[in-house]
Amino acid sequence: MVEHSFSRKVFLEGILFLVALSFSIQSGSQLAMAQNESQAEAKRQIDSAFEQARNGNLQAIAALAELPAASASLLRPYVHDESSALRREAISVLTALGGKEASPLLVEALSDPNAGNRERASSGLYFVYDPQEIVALDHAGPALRKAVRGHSVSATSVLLLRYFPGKETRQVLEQTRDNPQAGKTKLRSWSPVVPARLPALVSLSALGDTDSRNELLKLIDAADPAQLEFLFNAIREVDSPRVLHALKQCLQNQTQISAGVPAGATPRRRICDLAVDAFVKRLNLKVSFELAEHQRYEDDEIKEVIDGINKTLPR
Amino acid sequence: MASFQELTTNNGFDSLATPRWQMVPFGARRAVRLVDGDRLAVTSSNTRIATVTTAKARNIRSVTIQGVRQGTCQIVAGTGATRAVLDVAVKRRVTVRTAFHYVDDGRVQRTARRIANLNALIAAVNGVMLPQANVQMTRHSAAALRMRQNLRRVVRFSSHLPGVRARQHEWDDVTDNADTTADFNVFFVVEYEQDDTPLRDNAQAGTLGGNCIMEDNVGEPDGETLAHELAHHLGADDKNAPAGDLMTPAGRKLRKAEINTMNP
Repeated sequence: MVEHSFSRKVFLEGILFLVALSFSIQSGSQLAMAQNESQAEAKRQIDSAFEQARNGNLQAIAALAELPAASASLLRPYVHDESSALRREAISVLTALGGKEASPLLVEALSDPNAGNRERASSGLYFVYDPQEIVALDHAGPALRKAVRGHSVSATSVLLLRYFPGKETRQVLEQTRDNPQAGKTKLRSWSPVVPARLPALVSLSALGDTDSRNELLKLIDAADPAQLEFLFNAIREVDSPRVLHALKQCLQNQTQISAGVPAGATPRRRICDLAVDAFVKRLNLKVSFELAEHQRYEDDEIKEVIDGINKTLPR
Repeated sequence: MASFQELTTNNGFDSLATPRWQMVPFGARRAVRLVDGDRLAVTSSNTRIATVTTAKARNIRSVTIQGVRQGTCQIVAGTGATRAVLDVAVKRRVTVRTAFHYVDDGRVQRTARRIANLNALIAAVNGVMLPQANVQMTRHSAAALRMRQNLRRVVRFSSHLPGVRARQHEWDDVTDNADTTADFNVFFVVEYEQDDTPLRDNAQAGTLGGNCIMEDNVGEPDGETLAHELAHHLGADDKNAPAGDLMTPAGRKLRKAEINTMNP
């Protein structure tokens, strides 16, 4: 009797398993079908938006930012379109979408014949992705080196190169550092302009180049507000405690800057306010006040940050 | 002594720079006037960046500079003590793809601006920016922005002001609707303020972090105001002098420093 009920139980469990399996296969295939339909719909939307864009109407491009991130791979044909303007739109949509499908295409766009498009692709990678995600991408290092060898140097490409150590990278960065014709660059459209040499110094210093680090230390002592603003905005790339300690002196710097509030609004922020934001985030400092990206900090709040740095960073 | 002078107003020439300075778009030309240098030979210090030709008409000797490649060089007329020098920067075009939002909260915050007038506004902006800086504003998108929130009459940027309640900082509520695929987002509102006295009309527009809020009644020509804001978006700062410059309260002229900031 016991044996009979046991085999019956096994039989019922087997039936249940088969039903569950069949249901799972069915729902799996339904899910796959739904995904296919969603991809097909995304493709229709992308193709239609770019067809309109080709005729000069860019209105539909904005809506593409609402697509699922997985749709990014559908933009590949437009990343390589013959029209520079359409490639520019594709790069902007990829940046807005983000995600792992978009990043390899942004790497491909680093080889765009148009310097402005290369710069956009590089900014997209720099501001949207964790550096380790970029390091994991095929061809990212060679593509960045090629972009920096080009005539128009983008600050973000130069900064990203610090994550691709090696002889070739050092050569490219040294060329940028030592080339008086390398010109000027900026981190974002609204950022102050700095010599292309500055991001090269930051990257070379992060790659352990002693000369560049020493030059960076000297530069910090005499830096103008534009250069300091650049360094605080790129503080993620500064790994040397010596350089960070040197930047710490800016927590006393009351020079007003244009970042943080619209032009004409007062009180304007100062270098020291930007430095507080940068240090608290970079060193993950625990402070008793909240960061406020438009406001000035009080003297005791700034002192708290200086104390935090001294406790956190070795000398 | 020979000197280079502006031939066409607001065409990228800076007479206050030393040496005088001319922006030349990549692949295009700019002409300047050479005064007291009729017989002087005119040469480019780097013909891979810019080439020169000269012509004389109606007693005016003009020097036409062709931008060959992005970079800087000098145009030199003559030699020795009588020589004139002009610094030249050949610049590629910077395109700023702009999204325009016409804010409407269904109550009093309803901009009087119309999309139908937008192309004329963009043309006016480009009339200032293109010839001087080789910066072009393009229309990326334009639409009404219907907001459920009651914005009241004045949209404020106030989070930098101690003691002002957070809900009065409507900047973020408005700019959260930005088109993330555009380079620059412009939001048209009835009234915009950014100081402690929101009931007094002190500000016409504000620009920060890729967004601009611009009010209906800006006092100056709309195209100049928006060009001024576009210059802020590209990193240029306000200044008080010389009067008539774009970055002063009223004017159109851009100087070397501003052009090099906007389009390095």
